[in-house]
Amino acid sequence: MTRDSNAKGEDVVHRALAGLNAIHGLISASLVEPDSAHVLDTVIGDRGVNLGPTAEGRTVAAGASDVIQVLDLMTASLGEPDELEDVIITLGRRHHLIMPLPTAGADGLIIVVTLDREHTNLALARVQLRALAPVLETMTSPGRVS
Amino acid sequence: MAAHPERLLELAAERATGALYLNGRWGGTVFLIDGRIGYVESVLTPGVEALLLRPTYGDEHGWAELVAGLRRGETAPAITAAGQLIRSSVSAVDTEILRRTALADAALATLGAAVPEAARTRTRFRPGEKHWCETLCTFAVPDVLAEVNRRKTVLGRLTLGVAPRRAVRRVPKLPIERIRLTATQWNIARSADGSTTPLDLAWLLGHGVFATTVAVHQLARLGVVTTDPDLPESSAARLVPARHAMSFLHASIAESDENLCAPESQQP
Repeated sequence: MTRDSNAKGEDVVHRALAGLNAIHGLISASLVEPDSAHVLDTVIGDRGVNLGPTAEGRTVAAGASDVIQVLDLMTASLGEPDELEDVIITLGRRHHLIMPLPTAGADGLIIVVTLDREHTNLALARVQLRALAPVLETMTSPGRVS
Repeated sequence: MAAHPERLLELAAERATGALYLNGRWGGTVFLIDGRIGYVESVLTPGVEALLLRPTYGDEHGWAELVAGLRRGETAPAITAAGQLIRSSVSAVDTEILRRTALADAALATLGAAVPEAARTRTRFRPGEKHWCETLCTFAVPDVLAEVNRRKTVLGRLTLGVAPRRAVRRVPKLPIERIRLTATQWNIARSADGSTTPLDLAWLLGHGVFATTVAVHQLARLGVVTTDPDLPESSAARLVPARHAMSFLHASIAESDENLCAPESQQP
């Protein structure tokens, strides 16, 4: 995607997210900053049509960010401290999967995956999604060496 | 917002590469590569160097000193330190994610501000100039402007007087008996002393200004912070009504409705 002739590297964020292309029935997967509902990157899967950064993608990102905000509030209000692992929203034709990456980005990111229910295996998709987390969740901390 | 997008769109059409300097108090720099946006820098918002360096500072005082320098435009020491971090211990994915976060935040400050007519902003384009942080991905100008507009819509919907440049302070007494905060919320509440604005808090935390403003609004809604400097202790005990909940989704739907209605409403 880069046109910088001096750029040495490829778009590593997009490449990492593109690992989700292996999920059967993938419509789209986005990396989103839930504090701002900003879509950082999107990949389009085998069941999706690439229309660029569409209104639909932004709507899903906005809705997912709201969901995370509400669930964080709920989790924080429960007696025992606990963490949100993922959210599965099941519609008639689609699944929306949201997975928080609490230590990614400036203050946590989420991955939002939209799947075609007829062509997907939800359990497998969750496993594939979870496998991606460590790639994006590398953390900067004092003295950390990778 | 008159002069900026026009010059920017011209340069985009010419597929220009270089730095567009937007002068004036709300100024910033847009780095273009082949007519696409590689990075946006603003003195108002923490740049990628600040976002990269923040987690490496355990010492609040040292961080405050660095921030004070950055906000005066003294970026050289931070850029050197951030460059070392990129070469040694931060992954390319991390760097690129923070770069995009900083870009969008600076774009709002640089391209989204309503520039007063009186402050005639001059623009200057330096061909060939590049940002120090390697550009792995560029963005189409209309896409960046769309994100700027989305953020403006969200800010316009914030209630309780919350705005990026309006000071907030902790309430003297919580409106409810018990509340649990995230680390970020606690850090905001801790630093909200009545002189700090969401913009200041973003620099302190090393987060985006827009994201921090939204987080401050959430805390104002919970009754933890307030923008009212004269709020008496007793009235802090009021619970904030649910209608003050900010929803990105509602803002997004409202924005697309406005866009649909706009051409019609401009008809004579």
